[in-house]
Amino acid sequence: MGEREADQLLVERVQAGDKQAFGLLVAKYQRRLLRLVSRLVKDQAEAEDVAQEAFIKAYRALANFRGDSAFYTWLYRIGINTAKNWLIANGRRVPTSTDVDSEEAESYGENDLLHDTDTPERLLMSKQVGEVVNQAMAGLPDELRTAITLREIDGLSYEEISAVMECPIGTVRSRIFRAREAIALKLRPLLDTGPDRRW
Amino acid sequence: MKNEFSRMLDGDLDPHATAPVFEAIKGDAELRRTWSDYQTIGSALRHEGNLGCDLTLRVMTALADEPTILAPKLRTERSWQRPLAALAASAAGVAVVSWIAFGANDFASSTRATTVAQLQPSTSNGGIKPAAQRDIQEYLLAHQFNAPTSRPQGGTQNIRMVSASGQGGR
Amino acid sequence: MRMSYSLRRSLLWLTVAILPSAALAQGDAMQWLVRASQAAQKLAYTGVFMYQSGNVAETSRITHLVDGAGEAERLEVLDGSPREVIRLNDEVQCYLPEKRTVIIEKRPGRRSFPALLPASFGGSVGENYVVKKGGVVRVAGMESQAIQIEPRDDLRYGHQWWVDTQSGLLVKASLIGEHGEPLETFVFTELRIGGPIDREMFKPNARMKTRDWHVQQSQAIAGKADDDAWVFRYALPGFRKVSGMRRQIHGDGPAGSHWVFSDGMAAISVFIDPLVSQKEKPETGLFTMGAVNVYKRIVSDALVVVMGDVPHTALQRVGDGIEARHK
Repeated sequence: MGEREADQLLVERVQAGDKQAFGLLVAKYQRRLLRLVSRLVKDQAEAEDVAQEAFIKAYRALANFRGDSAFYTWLYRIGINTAKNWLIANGRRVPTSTDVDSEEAESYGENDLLHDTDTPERLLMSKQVGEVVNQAMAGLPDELRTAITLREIDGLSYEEISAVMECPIGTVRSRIFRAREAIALKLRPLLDTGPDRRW
Repeated sequence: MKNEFSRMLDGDLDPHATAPVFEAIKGDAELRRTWSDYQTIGSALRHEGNLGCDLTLRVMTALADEPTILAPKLRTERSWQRPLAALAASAAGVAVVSWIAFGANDFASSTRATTVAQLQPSTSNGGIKPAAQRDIQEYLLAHQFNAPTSRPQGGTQNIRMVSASGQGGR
Repeated sequence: MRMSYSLRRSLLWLTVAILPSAALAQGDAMQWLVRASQAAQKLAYTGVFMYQSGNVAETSRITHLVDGAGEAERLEVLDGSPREVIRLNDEVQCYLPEKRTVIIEKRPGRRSFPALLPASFGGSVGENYVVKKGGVVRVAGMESQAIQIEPRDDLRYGHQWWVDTQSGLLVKASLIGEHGEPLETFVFTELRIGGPIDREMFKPNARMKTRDWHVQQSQAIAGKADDDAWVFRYALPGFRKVSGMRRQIHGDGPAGSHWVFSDGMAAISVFIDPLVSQKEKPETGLFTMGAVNVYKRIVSDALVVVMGDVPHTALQRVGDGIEARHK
């Protein structure tokens, strides 16, 4: 199934009474939402507060979410509105350029160093995480690295990866899983020094 | 369990197979941390930034006092159609991606030079003629329709197609 | 001997890694390519651009949108003879009012996103081209990053791209020929990124009254091209097959085969159609249409047409190596 259907599954689980499952969505989209909010709310700490607020608003509105749009599209709008309201409430100027309103105008691949309002610790941590992931990728056997690249960067489904790599789908599952585990192993000691991830 | 978990993250798990995974997540903080870690890996690979940040705990803590949602489950046909079509297409193996790989010595052949030389005759650009639109138009359209759009603007393909289709009529 | 699997794969992740020196520069420049490709697929935008190739210069409007119903794109020529191309997901309609014809093609068996994804072609593009960042200049009022895409051999052309630094959208591009001359250039003269763009904008102009027009359903039949009947002796380094289909080029004739190959930037089509023997033999040899070149030859009672935005040497190499398989 595609991304949208996969998210819809998580949404429906939350709607059926499993609040924990909302955390899965938060973990998935928090960085994109934070980046979005940061374009309006320049201070990092304030941006995090606004992003948190947006997630809470999304949770409260989730009962009425019917899947007419993709979850992130919907979350995106909530993020923008929450940020704008925050700016108004704090007497700040609200940018009027139309590209802020367009989901698709989110930029890609920006170097973290461009966010000059990040705290040095956060910047360093972010950079280190990036480096550890790269190093871990470098150390992977080719087929594991390829599989996870096709999945995470190119967004191919397992069926598509199976066709591209010319291997059974079970092998794709195994490769992606093993790649993740191998990288996570290297990443955990570093992440353990950061904010608490046990939710 | 972690394997199913990895698959669920990628949408590879059938909806009815997800229930045990969700149950496991409810009871196991380690598993939830693993989800976060996998998401961080994805975020890092896609350069989403803010890798040193994690809001999940604070959000979930803030939601602790919120009421649990119980909303009626609505399922429309529409949301499931696309993935089925995609599955059918890949099962049919229509889009073929494969390397044509031959020995390097095949390219070293010197017969190429003589062939080009033969085509050197009268015209100044080495015997290359401007294509007559009428002959080539159907081929050109088929080529442009199907050339992969790895480039933006619908592939410059569509732009060329529009342009080429005009020349025949002039 | 296959192109080294590990080389290919390690180039795949080069786009991700932060590595020192030249690799870093290539990776950084490559990211711009990836970004531009993704932006064009995902952003909603409308703009006016100029396309120029040889002595053809035209101004057109392009509008693009992706929403719940999929991808929509429309191109309309604003000066010269009115023409439009409208693409909705996998179906393309080409309106030619001066010929009172509309050509429709459905891409056979394609999924709802492009079969070639830029990031995975980071490997392929990197293998075949050297990608470098140029300076930052203004194009159509937008600050744009210049990217040079230089071919590693003489089987492909170079490119120059200018990418809007803010949205990532490609705002100017040139195909560069063997002698450094631009073979075609496309450049936006005005561009609006973001909404509101709605589906109404993808309906053809009212002038396109197609009721008594000739409708040509481009006859591509899903299914493998006739791989068994033909041998491709000479492979082009860096190009891989991305599509194959049966196709009736001339509406009522027998179906032939159509293969598409790509190296990440350029595309080559090979058409093999049985000759309808009563007709006079078609012209063969090398042809050019500015940015797109063509090579035609006759092999075993079939017409082989090799076409693409690559130098003639490449087309000829492929074309000369095609043989009927003897069973």
